[in-house]
Amino acid sequence: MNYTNVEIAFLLLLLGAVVSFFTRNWRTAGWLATGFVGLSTILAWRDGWRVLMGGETLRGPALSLLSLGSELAVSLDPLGAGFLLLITAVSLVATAYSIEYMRQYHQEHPGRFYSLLQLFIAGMVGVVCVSDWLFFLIFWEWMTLASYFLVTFERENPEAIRAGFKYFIMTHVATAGLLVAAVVLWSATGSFAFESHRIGLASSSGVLKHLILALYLLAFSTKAGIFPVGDWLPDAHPAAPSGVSAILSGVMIKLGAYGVLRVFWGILPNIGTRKEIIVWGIIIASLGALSAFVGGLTAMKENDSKRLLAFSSISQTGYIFLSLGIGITFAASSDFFALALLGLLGAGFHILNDAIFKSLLFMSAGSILYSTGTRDLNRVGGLSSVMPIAAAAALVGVFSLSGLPPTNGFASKWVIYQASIAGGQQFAPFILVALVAFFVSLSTFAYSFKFYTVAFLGNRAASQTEPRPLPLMMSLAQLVLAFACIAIGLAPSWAIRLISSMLGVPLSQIFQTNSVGGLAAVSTKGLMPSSWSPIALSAIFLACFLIAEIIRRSGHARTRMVPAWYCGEEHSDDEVRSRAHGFYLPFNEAFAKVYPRWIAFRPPRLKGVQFLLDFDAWLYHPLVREGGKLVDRVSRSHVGIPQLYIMWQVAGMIVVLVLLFLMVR
Amino acid sequence: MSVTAAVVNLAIALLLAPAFEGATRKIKAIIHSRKGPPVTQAYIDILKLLAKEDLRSSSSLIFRFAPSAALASFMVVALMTPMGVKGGVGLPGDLVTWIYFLTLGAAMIMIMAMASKNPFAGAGAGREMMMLLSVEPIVIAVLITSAIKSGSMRLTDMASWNLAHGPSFSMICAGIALLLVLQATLGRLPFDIAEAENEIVGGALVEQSGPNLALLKMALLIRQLVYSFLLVSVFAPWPPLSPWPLATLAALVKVLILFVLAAVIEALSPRLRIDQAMSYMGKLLFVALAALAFAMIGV
Repeated sequence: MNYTNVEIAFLLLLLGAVVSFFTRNWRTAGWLATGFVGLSTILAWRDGWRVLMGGETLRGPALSLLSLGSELAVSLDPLGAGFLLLITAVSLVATAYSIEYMRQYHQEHPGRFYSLLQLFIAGMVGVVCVSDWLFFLIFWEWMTLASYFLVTFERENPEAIRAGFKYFIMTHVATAGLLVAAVVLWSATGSFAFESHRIGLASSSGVLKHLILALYLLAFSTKAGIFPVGDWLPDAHPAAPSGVSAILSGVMIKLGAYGVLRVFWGILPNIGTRKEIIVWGIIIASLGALSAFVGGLTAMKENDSKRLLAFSSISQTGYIFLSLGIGITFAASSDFFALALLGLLGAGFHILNDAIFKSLLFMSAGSILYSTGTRDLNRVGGLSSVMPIAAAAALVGVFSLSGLPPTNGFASKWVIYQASIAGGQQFAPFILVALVAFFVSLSTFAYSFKFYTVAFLGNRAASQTEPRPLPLMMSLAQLVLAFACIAIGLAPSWAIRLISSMLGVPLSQIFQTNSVGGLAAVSTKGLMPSSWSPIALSAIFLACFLIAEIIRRSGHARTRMVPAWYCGEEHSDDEVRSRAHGFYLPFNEAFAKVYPRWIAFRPPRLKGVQFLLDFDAWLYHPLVREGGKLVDRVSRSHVGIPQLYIMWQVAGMIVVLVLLFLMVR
Repeated sequence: MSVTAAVVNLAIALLLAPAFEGATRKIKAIIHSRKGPPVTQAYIDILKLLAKEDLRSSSSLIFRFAPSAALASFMVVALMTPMGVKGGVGLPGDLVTWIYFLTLGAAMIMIMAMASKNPFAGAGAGREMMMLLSVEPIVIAVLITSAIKSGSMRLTDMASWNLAHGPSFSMICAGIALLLVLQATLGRLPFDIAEAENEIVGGALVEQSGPNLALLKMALLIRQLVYSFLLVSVFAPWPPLSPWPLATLAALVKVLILFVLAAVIEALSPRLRIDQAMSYMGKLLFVALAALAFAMIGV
């Protein structure tokens, strides 16, 4: 039997998990895990690349559960392949980053981390490689469980435990919806295959169909972290070790978008009426816009580096949904199908770019945490002298996240703006979406600016302990991602070609690409003339920069270093440090209530059930207490002065002697 | 790409921008009943600064190169802005790139301010960011209005569409919104909150001196100029004048009128607090949204 590369990659990850479990040394375990993930990345890329370029679905040998109408088989279509490439690549970088980062947990067993990490990656690989809802759910659950244990890796930390619990509950409620949808359609069709569920969905009655679609949307948008159902995200992502946060935010939440793409782009346009498609498209777009807005404004207030980035993830996933929603809406009309493709392309491109720069920035936050031991942005400062490479990479990441040219973040946002403005010309409400997208992009700039400048620029904080220098491996991991940000940003047409083959979008219907990687909208119905040619504009920018430098040097001015000027007063460096909490106060007050705080509803009369579930309370603790008493009683006889023992011995001897005398007679 | 247009735009940006500043100062002096500096004073200032000693409070590379990068970004924006020459420079850009290169320049100035380690600069950068957050949505709404009206994302297409079709209600509405926000985009009283010389001693620029300060002054002047040119050549391009030098001259005269108007407002108004400015912008956003709504229904 010959296996596909994807299957070998999957098995390698499982093998790696087993090997890691028996490794004692953190560094060895890290390198081994990186090796296993690296090998499986290469294998997965071989298959994924072929599928992406060829456009044909790869099918592997099957394990059939005929009685259930389900089969476990590799079934890798271009959409899954694109995600497969992304998952393995980002995971590899994050694993390499973890080698040094995780050594600060040396008192723990490395298997607890690396085994789970590789299982987690294997779960994600599984999710995108199957076309069967039963196994999709199994892998989905596998991924969720593994990531739950990674979120609660710091098990002594009550904050992490609570975050993990919230994550566990919220995603499981959502997954239950997915399960219900799968079971309902299975009972109608007798099979779990994607294809038969599509047919089953097409033939179900109106109400049921929309109920099932709503369940899908709920499940996937919970995983994607869409506001308000993604409320688990700002707690769970900061709690996990930074390498895992990078994977969680970089790729795992993108699998929510993967699910939405599968159902609402892959299935809905074929089975829905025009009106239904439009309604679902608008729902997704407005969820996305709301999420982008709320996440962006809340991140401006955050002073915890990783929480800030977690809210930013909510906001950026909002962008993806927003663009996707526009695409789905126009999928209904044959006249403006170019707009549908444009919106879809924007979503796909932003998935790629957000995966890169968000994992980069989580690694930056991790580096700050590693170096200073705190996530609080008020207590750090001036780190660019400690970690120059990481600071440069973080600057690139921040520029990408804020969507400043010529980075990759700008390229995908450019596509999204095209989609929303041109979409708004045909359907007025999307103009508001476009405005929200622009405004949120500015607020993205505001919070990422705060993140970067407070941590890396300015004066060193006095309260801060002497920051540790960063190991080379961690800097390298960030540098690789920063390089990807710039490369994709400078030549967006190459990346967008991959995205278009992943989504099955004919690129030539939307964009003309030029030889230096630029893009220009083709003149077709619905699109507006526009163009973006980063290499040409960067060259012009460089020329202007040179002119500016020539002007600068024309006066032959001398240079002198001076201390900063505080209007004649004298201050210590720490007194005049810019602190994170001081940023944008008037603005934040104006938008104070944008992110609601919910108090969890607590059922009042469940004390008994709670007690019953709490094995500690009625089984373990009483047993321990009684056992302890027994042992106490025994040990009391052994605690005493030596004379006492001798007395007992003498008494015992007398008893024995008396017995002997009695018996011998 | 049109070389003539590129040369004209760069010449206006680099050589004529200080003249507008000089005119503004003269007019303010007249309103204050002062004699005031000569119109050439802005040139003299910049030339003198170029030769003065460069004092640095930070050894950071960002601090060193950000002024040139900011000037370069605004120069790229100046190349994208139509300034009378038919068809413009023809850079591969649209309204999104126009806005974002402006933001890039502002980003450079703000990051440089944070790198200077001066708390006044930090305060200035934060205020600049908040002004950006409240002003740019209006500018964007106005630009989208124009894009919807003309059916193109390119600024030159918008200008020529407006020239060909004459004034329309939504475009006038958008133009008024842009005019009302102009004072803030120019960074002048009552909206010079980010610089506020007598409050936070120049904000982002407090640690700058010598050639770097000269470059930053140039950069800010060019920014004022491109916003004004956006208003006059996209939203008020009439009447159509055929040889381009005449059109450029007419645009310059209109820009001068805008600067005179701005100078009068500046001389007569006190500085607003940031929250007052934000609520003003909030109201103005409705004007811009109204323009957008009118454009959607096609008037």
